[in-house]
Amino acid sequence: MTKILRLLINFVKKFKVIFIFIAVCLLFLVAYTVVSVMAAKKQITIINEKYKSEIAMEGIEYPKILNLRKESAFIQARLELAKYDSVTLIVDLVDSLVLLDLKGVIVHQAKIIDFTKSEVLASLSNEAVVNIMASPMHIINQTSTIVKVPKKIVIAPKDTIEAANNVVARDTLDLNPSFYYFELDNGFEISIIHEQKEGYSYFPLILNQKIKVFKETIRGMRHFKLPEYIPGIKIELKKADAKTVFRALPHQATVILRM
Amino acid sequence: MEELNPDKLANEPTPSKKTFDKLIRVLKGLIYIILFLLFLAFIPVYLLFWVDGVKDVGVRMTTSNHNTFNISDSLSTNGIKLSKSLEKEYNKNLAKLNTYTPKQSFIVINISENTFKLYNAKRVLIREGVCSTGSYITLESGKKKWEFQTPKGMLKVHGKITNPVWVRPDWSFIEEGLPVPSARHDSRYEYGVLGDYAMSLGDGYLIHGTIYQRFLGMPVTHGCVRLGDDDLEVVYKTLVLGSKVYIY
Repeated sequence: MTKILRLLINFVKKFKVIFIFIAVCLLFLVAYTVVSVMAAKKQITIINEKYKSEIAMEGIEYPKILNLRKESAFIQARLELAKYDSVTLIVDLVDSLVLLDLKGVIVHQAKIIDFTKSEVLASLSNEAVVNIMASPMHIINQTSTIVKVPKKIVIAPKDTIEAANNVVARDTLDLNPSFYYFELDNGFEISIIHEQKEGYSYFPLILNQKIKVFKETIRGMRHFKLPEYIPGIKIELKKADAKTVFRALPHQATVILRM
Repeated sequence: MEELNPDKLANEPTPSKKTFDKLIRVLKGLIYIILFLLFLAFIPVYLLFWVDGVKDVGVRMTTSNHNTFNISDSLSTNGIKLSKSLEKEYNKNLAKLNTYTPKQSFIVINISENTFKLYNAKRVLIREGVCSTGSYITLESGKKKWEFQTPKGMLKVHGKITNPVWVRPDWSFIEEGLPVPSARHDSRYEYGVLGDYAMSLGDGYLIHGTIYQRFLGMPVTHGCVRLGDDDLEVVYKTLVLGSKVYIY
């Protein structure tokens, strides 16, 4: 025992505290990464299980049949959306489009400049993908840098002179950067940012989103549990499109995915 | 007295060499400090941003793809049957979805951008341009409140009017700081301010013209949709009673 202690003391003396600190940090980074990867892998199993068909999907191993099933699922979901009275969101990663649907009619079409999706979504079983496409999801929470309804309150003027001075500023929120993310009822998250050449002034919100994931992972590590993994899709749109999509959607909008 | 040893003198570092060694030591220390600071900065950057990429690589490397494909193009007899039935179902659903697209001409209005798109009965875009929609202003006068928002959703053209007359509601007087006249007072009737045509969308909302052409493309109305003179004429002549108006 004393030998080990002496070895440890020698080690500390030799490599100094700073190296131990670095080693501990590196160990933490590795543990954090491993836990994150494990959580992601667990999520794949959970989603595959959640979206498993009761009756096995026949012929799904053939690319032609798989595509037919996917397209069929997508059209089926769009038919479901047509029943809603409000605007719904379609994220079409195959054709790189974000669409707004109102009673079965595409009222707005925005070209996706760029998108990234979690590896988890790319690693799902075909059966799960088909079933995800067939089932509309609902937004349960929205976080954004721009306001949904740019309301302004004006108190009625007493006379015509006051009325003439009562000039309300135009929609100054147009100038704000657009970044928002939708938390969906199935645990997915869709983030939309305006094109990056317009600047990165939405950084604080992105940082908040990342800190939330970090806290969740640390909480999991502290309790020796795998943290909850949120599969996400990050989409870059033109500034005007990003604003239009956000403002057109109601708070609990319905979303379908094509991937 | 100590004797001077020429060999010892030769081995002793000169003052300039001493300074050089000191400089090297300082530089070495500085490099270590910079490296350490870089490492400290790397930790939050990695944990918050780069870990996602590493995570994705980790998932890709450790997940075996369960999706096995039969790469042969030829389907078995059952496969062909299945493929045909799926195609049939797909076409049936697609046809059903197409029934939602209006059979008559229709207009789509984007209230975020204050633009419109007009389609004919063949679903061909025939005109697009700017318009003005609700200002999102809430006018408060005592206990009364008016919200100037264009309603979202699918509306219909309920009526078509030429040379519309604007019957000024109470809020238009209150907004200008004027006393509210009686219901049928002459000052309530304004001629020519709504343009040559108007289309009623129900609940008092109209698509009409404007004398404030410079405000087109801005959210400045009390909820109605204002169009420029030329656009208004085309829209009026294209839309029929019952035509759908999609506002989002």
